[in-house]
Amino acid sequence: MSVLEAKGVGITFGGLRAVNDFNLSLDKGELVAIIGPNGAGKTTIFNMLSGIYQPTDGEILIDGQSILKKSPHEINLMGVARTFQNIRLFTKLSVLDNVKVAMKCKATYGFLDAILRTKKCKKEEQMIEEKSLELLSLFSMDNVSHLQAGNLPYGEQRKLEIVRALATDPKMLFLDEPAAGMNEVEIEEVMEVIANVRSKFDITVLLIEHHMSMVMKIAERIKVLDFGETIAEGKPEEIQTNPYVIEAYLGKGGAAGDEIKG
Amino acid sequence: MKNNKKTIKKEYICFIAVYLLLYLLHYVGIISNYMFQVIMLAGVNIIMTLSLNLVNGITGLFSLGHAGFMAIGAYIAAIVTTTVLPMLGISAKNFASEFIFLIAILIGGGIAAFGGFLIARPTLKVRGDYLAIITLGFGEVIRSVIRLIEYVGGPRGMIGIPKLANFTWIFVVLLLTVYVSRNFITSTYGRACLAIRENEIAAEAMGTDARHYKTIAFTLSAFMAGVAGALFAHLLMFISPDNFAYSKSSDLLVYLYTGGVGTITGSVVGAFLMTILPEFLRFMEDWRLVIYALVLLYTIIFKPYGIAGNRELKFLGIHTYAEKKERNWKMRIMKLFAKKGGNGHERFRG
Repeated sequence: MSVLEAKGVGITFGGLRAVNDFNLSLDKGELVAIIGPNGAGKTTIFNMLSGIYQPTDGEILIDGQSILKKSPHEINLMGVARTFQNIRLFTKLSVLDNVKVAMKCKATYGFLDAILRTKKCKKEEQMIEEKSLELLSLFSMDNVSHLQAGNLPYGEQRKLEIVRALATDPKMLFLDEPAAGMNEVEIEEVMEVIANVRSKFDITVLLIEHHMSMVMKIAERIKVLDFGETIAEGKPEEIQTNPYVIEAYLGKGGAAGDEIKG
Repeated sequence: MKNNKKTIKKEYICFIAVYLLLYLLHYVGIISNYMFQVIMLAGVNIIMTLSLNLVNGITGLFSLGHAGFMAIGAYIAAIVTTTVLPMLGISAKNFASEFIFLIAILIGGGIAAFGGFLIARPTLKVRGDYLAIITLGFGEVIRSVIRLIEYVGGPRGMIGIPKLANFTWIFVVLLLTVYVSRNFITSTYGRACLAIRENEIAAEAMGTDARHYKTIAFTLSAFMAGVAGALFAHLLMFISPDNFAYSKSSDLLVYLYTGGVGTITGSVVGAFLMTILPEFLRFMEDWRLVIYALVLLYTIIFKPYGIAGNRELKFLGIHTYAEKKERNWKMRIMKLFAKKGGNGHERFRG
């Protein structure tokens, strides 16, 4: 059974049809990529899947349960964690605190425990701290845990967003352009991180990315969007030679797929 | 663990020392009765600023209505003591009156907290300027309603409140407020609030129920404000709706931002200094307001993180990133006048 299922999802902003009839079914442990030119509606889809936007029509199911009318935090608790295209870290907090915020669902102590700082609270706080450091060390970030998140280098900030998302113990991880604005060496690193995530966590990954070389290497299945419509779907090799995809990226009469291979 | 316990004790000794020092200085006569009263008022202001800090500093909501919560606490507590004490025939200050005062403070705080909860639920959907206007309106509504209630003296104010608050009361409540603030900030609740302040969308996506945590922060803050109001009423023995006007809320904002928004140390330092300062400048007569304004300007320009510079006292155990010292004041002034986003040359073109 698929962990996530989107059926005929569409959204309209005013008179603009941003996404139309989007269908997606994610199997457990898969890595699926969504690609498409700027403004194709990729991030809008992510925002609908994570509850930030309400789709105008269609149905989204996680483990057979509808997520429509649920707020982002409820959807997160159902096992969806995401990163953002424009990094949204808690910049003024420490790296460790960024992870701890996401870890919070594992704390069971109540408000009075917190205010009076009971033994239960102290014990759980210590547990949260240990677990957060453990997670950070998996991505060799424990040595920067005391730094202010906003002062990290760009690449590390992207990485921290992924670590923070993992701290919520998700079943699905949505990565919104994790390699945006990076050079080839940094892209290699991101790919390493993603491979690391998939090997250490039992997780399904949905990826939006512009870097074709990266998508072609790591994605098992690719969906191509243009102007809100799904124009192609399939394995990387199939997508590379698909005439519609080439047309969307290069315009009519574009060169035969060379550039899309990256 | 042992080591930890020892350091905590050191702080306790510090608190007791400060308490005894102020008390003795007053007893000997170095601090006049009037000055002692001002110090106690500063204590109440510190509690109010700590309360405001939870909302404005930690959760990043801009409230302009905290004087309203203070008013609720003050009036409710005053009603409790002025009705219950004569009923029980307690006139002298004794253990029973102290106990009833404690109950009155808790009821005042509790009802203020309930008020906070009631307005938090529907209004916390809006943010920024809109929330500021709604809370401002709330504060004014409270004040106007009190003016209409003849039972509490209407616009003339409420007289005959027993003087139950003293230095000890205020000092202990102040310490408790610091303790509660500290515990709140370093718990999952405080972290969630900080995350909401930093980036609400990301906080939501990480499983934080923003509205829930905002409501908790607002309610706790209103409780503290109510407690401060109860102390205020029983310190001055007279309250009128005008004590809790909009200007009170804006004073609190001044304390908070001069001291350092978002930090406990900053709230304490700011409220204390800005309450005491005008008294020390009394010899300058009208000029003291000018000095007051200049101090404000100085902090805004040269110390954007407040006097405390985003630092926390070590014993609080809250990690913050202290403001870096910029020694070159010329650069700062240049920066101040430089066009935002431009490179400074643009304004001379064409």
